[in-house]
Amino acid sequence: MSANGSEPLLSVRDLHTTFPLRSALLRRVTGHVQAVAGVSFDLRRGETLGLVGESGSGKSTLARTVIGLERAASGTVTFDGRELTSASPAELRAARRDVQMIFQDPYSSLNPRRTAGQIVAEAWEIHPGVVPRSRWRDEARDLLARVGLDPSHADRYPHQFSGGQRQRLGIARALALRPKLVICDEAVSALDVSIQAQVLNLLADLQADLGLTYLFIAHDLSVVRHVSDRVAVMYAGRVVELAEQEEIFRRPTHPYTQALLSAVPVPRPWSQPPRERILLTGDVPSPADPPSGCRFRTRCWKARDECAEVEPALEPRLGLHPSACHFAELPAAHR
Amino acid sequence: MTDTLTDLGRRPAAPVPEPAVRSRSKPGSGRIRFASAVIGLYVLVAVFGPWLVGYDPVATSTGDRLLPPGSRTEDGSLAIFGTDQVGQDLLAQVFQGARISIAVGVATLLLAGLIGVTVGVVAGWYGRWLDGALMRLADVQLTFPSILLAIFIAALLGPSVVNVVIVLAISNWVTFARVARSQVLVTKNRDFVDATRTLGARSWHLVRHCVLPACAAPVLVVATVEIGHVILAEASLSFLGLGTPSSSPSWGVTIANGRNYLGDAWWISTIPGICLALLVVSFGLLGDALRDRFDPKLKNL
Amino acid sequence: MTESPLLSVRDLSVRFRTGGGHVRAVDGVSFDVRRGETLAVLGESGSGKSVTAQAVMGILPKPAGEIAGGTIVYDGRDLLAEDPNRVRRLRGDEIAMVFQDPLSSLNPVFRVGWQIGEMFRRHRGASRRAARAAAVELMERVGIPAAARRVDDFPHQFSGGMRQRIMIAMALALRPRLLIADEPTTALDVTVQAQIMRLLADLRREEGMALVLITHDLGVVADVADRALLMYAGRAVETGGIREVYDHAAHPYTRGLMASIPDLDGPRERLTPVRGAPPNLLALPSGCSFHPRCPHATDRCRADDPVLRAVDGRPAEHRAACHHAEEVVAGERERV
Repeated sequence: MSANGSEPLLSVRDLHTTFPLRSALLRRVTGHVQAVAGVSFDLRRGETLGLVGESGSGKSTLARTVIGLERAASGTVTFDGRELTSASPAELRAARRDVQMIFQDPYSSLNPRRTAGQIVAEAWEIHPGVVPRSRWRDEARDLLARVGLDPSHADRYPHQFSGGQRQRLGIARALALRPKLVICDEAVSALDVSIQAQVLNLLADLQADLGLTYLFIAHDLSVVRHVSDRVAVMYAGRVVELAEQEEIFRRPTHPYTQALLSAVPVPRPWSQPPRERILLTGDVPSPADPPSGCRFRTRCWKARDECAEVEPALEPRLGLHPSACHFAELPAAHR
Repeated sequence: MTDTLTDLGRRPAAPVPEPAVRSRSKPGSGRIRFASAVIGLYVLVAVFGPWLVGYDPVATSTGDRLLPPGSRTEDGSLAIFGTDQVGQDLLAQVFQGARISIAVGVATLLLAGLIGVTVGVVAGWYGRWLDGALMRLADVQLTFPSILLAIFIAALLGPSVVNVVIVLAISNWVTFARVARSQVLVTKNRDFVDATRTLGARSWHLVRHCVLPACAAPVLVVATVEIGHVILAEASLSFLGLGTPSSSPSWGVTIANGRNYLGDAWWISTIPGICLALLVVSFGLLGDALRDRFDPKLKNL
Repeated sequence: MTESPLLSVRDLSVRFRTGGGHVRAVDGVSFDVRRGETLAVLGESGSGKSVTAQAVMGILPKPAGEIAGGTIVYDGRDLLAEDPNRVRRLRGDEIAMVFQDPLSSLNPVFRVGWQIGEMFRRHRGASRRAARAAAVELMERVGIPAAARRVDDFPHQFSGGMRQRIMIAMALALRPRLLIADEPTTALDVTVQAQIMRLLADLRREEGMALVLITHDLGVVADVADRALLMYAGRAVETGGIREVYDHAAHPYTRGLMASIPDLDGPRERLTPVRGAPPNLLALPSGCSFHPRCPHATDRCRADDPVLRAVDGRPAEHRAACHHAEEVVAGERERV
């Protein structure tokens, strides 16, 4: 699978994550929500894989399962040669040092009762031996400087920082254990445009300097295109298309990807050739009761009987990249 | 790194013209100041009062019986609050009572708080059947009248200050457990707890560093509201003879003693009653004000 | 310019009381909304764009916020000077508003049909039956499938996009002549966002009403807006036809915002965002409040506060509050 022959850093195979649905009164389990329903992908060392999808697509649950915040119902997550879904808690904790996460909300993801320095040093508190206690203060200040914060602000509390600065603090915390993989879960979505661009640049610099691998989750396709080497498009718990960034944006073959791309607001629509706007009707289906066959068929303009019967596999189509559609075809402009 | 360093040296404050704007003076400042002053005075009296005005539980002075407030006793000293039916100075009793009431209140809250917060945190953090079991236990506790429990323990172990503390702690831990539990439930799903978890933290670290600090403010607020109730409950139990023994004259004991003399010597019951009421009201005021300031969500406790 | 504008805001200032002192959330903002046009009010958080809308709608959070000066003239009537009761009725009847978060704007314990119908019962004295029928009609109008069946559902039974449609239905109930939408699509997914923008644009055309779209997302409004007003730190910094503003930005802030947005086409270059962070409104910089972040800043910018003015070589309607606006426009020509 991996093009360059070296072993992938992260390898996810047929991952399922389900949540029990409970009745309101007796809390009995009445069904299951399949938030992630059979996802497989590889993450190569040093690359950025963008994960896009709308709310309910399962992209955040996928990330939380990879990092161990949710328990996988089935499937495997192999990180750096270690299989995590069957690992013991101690092994998991060790592996977690190498996988860190940047959260969406810079307000709620920082402990309000700890100072910036303490937030960064917390990782060393949990993993004694990474950095000796006597070095905590200096190392924390270095990290703050690294992410563009003033080291002399180490004694300030999160509420004394602006939103963008808080997100930088979250990044510093994620870097404290020198991870190999950083999962960015909508890491720039809550930020103002100008701040968002600053943080994107910071993430790019850190990747270049530290050799980080990113799993970059976002709903904003422009941002994903900007940062990603490859892009996976998720819909209702499944990956529907997976390709190099260039391919996804220039030659999408799945109708959902095409619709998603056509809906992206462009700042200066008049300066581009007129785009074909595909306006989808309806909403993402309920993950508790997904449609049979292809999960996108209820909103798809190409759907036929076959789509309701056979679930399309994510495999190379049209001699191009993997796409999970029986009727994969290039957008009109390319035909 | 040129443009990534641009936040450096900037003012940290966010641009905040958001509608959620705090008014200039924090809510309840006046109430807090007043109530704290009254409570502080009581604490001073409880600590230094008995030392200034000695109290001897077995001394009697028949000549000084039932002197009204402001009288001179036989040995020429001034009985500001008058004397009781055995000629003891009421002021000394009230001072001693303040010490007992406040000591019982604080001890009870420490014990109840310890039990309640532990139960609440365990129930909220581990959830599932443990949560169910512990919270049902709390429900059972609430339906069991504390007077009955007090009679039970007094009959079994005899009246003593320690037993009063135990009885009151048993009847009061539930509030702490509920507050701690709800705070844990709110906190444990916050992003920063997940963030700490992804660093590899175990439960104990998460509870100690993320959850317990979040419980501190609401638990303190509840403690302030509860201490008034506890002091009142102690007085009631003592009044009924189920609380502190008559050798340690808590306000309840003194009020009970004066019951038979209400017609001739109103002051024996009335003065400790007023002292009690003022303290309880002050704690109530302080608790309400603290709640308004720190945790408006606790409104209907 | 012959016809009088529908809404004319002049020199509007809104003051907020905060823990740290008074803050001018909106500071001397003037703009017009013409009959039937779509005006986009753009800015980042803290720019004062939502507060401006709240001031127009008379829903400033009390007592913290108050209008400190200026006039808001709607169809020739000064909303700040007239009898509050008449103004309140006017705001229900002729000016309506749609908010960002449809779930918290809808009452969770009432059926949606009842909530939409309430507009007719309260303002038009319609009977229950007539109000319900009107509610169904409106729900169809805003594209809610099976409206007749869903009229008795509760808000939580609808998806985010459908809830926003319900909010729009309520806003449209009394056929307003001015609709203010405050971040109407921010909480929604991209595909739903596109649906709602299309719906708003269609409704505006059919109803002939004027639309004010408040958003932080420059892309979302590009297709539908006629004119744009950019706000920064409580001030209007640039205004003009949307293409004028986007293609020939005359304020360095506008330019910086445009450069901060990653492209969907074209080469992937490093972004060149605005430096630094928005200022603290409690301690605004001297002169032009943008100067600490501005590549063009000179001593004049640190001393003099620029006013919104016409830019040499640009249409009269295109105005910017920058001492160096001509330079900024010229800089763009060099680059392209």
